[in-house]
Amino acid sequence: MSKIRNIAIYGKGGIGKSTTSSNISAALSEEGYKVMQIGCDPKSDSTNTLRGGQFIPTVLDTLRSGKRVETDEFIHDGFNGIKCVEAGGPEPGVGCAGRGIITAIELLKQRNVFEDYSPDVVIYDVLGDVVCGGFAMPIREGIAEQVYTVSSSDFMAIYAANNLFKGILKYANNGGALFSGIIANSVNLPEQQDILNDFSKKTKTTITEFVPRSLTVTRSELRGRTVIEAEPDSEQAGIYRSLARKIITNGHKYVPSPLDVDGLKSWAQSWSDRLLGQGEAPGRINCSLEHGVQIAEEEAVRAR
Amino acid sequence: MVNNIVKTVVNNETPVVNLLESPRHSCTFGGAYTATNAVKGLVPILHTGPGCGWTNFFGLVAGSGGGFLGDLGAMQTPSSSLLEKHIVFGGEDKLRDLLNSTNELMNGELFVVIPGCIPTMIGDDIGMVVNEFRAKNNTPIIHVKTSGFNGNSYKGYELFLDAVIDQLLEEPVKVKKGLVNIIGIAPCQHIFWKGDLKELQRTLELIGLEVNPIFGDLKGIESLKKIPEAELNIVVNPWLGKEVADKLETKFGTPFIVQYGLPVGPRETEHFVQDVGKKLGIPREKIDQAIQKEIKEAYQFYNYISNGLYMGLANSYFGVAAESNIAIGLTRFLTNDCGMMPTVVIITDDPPLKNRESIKQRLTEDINSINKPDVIFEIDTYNIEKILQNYPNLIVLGSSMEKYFSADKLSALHLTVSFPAYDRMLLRRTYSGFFGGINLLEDLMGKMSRPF
Repeated sequence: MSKIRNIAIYGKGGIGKSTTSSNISAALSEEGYKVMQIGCDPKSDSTNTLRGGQFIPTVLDTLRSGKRVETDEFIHDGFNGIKCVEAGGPEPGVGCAGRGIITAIELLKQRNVFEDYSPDVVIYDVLGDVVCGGFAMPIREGIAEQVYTVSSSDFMAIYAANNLFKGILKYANNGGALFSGIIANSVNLPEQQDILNDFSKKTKTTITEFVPRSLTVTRSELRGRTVIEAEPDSEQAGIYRSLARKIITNGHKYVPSPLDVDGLKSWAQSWSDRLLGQGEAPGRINCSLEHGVQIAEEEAVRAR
Repeated sequence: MVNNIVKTVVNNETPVVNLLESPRHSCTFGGAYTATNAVKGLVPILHTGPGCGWTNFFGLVAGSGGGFLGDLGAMQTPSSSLLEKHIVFGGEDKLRDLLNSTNELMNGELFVVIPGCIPTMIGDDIGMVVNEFRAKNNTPIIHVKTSGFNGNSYKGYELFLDAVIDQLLEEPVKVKKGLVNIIGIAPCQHIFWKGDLKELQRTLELIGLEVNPIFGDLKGIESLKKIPEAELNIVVNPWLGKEVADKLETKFGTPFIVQYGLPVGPRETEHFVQDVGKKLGIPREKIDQAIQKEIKEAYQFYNYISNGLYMGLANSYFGVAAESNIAIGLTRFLTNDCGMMPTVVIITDDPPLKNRESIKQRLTEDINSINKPDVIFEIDTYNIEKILQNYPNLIVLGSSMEKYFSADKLSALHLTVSFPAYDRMLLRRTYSGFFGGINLLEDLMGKMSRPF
């Protein structure tokens, strides 16, 4: 069995991790790779767009039921044969989701899932910020070797990315995963690119790809599909394919240099001053967003 | 004893306490668990991981002079024994099941749910589950808010009484003249709790009072229900139980007095009884008459031991490492009544900062000795040994953890008087009351080996 490529994708909630992960998985499967995508989020919707918007039973459902559940009951085929897995977790407000992620991943290992299904690539789509040890699980103990973070140029997304860097730094000397690049998402303007470029420079990291915000994504997701599946000939699909190719060929991994709290604050302040100095912020994004919502609503009605 | 633990030392003086060697207490969970077991008929129901109950029960019971505690201690205690799946999905359902099965299988006067730290970490709403149970069943139930890294076992004792006051006791109540509660003696943490409560009860009954020791008698839930009927609450501790007494005063209007340290021997016990009597309006002469016989008898016993005391242990330097309550009682007795000389008193029960000055005063003021003891608050066993090494003590009154160290390093006579007490069986033994001092001298002199 050839060595499995284990890749974890982190980022702030709602930043587009699942969208990006699913499109990367879809693009890699087109290239002939055997892909497994594991959603590490109690919401259990990471792989929805790979399965026509369908939810699947989760790994932790087996624990909840107390019955012996076979692995094929929580591993489901998605688009182009991608193996879709959802770790699952407790209902909102109960129990410990962080421990849930640890339990789910350990259960997958115990059941020899990786040996039995022998995927070429496993993509872990991990919930939000690295808020506790549970969500750091995929970067610990050699589960994922390479970590990417999805980030926009918004400060809170950058803040989450910086926290992820701290997590990687903490486990780096103990066999933990290393960083491989920032996936800049929803970046349409040169100023946004500048911000992320500067952040990556300050933290000694690299940017793997700039992915623009696009209505193609909205349209595809409303149909419960990835861009690769729904609009394979679109420009956005090309961008995801390019990103997937970069990720699969990129073996470079390293320890990032996160900024400390004050460093991050003063860095953000310097950008605030610089943007204010340029006068009015460009309004194009807002306009296109409003327009996008309208189109999305129309699409949604049509899909029903 | 060889100590292998290396501690960080700053300026060659104060070790940075980033670890605590052999602490002399457990957690709130342990304190509430032993308190529950110390009231007959109460059913402790533990909501925590499988190890918490076991370690706390044996840690606290074995460390307090052995024996067993309660009808439902240790192996008999219902416990949710939370496992991984409860951590992930929450433990409320498990607690529900546990309450129902306990209700089917066990007869109890009061169910007491005692949660450990795990349920707080995963956000279990224990109050809600308990309220649901209360609404559907006739069995009275309370839950103690021990969960969530809340403090030590002393705090657990107070939290147990808090839960009783908030969830069990009802207003309005008719005050019963002459009824008093004793507060401030935590089962197990106070190693002489069984004997001391009995003796204090007997002593106060001499002046015509009805005494509710709350813990350790056979009345069960009635002891708890009687709490608000008391005319007076007596806190026999310089700090522990004061907040409970405050709460009882606010809720039921019961006044309270604080006895700063156990009354040991005729002198302190007389003061104690007179203070209580004064607060309740009992004439001084009446009390004098009631206790006269006891005092006479007590001094008669001093006659028996006096030659031995003055020949063998006259003006002996002694050091104490004990809980504030016991430390005050024993130090004052050995100094004021026996002519010994206190060098250092190490307080091991970690009293709140606001209470430390009054504890210090009781140990250094109104003390008939040419030297006043240094009073040091320390809970780390390694540091306690280091401190004791600085004084030329002939006698060390401490826990059993100082036993071998006192013999090997200090060549001092050692007697276990504080938690933990692994070298003594303590059932009715008491050092409080008119005859408590006699018991202490008996134990102390019994430690001496004589050539004849």
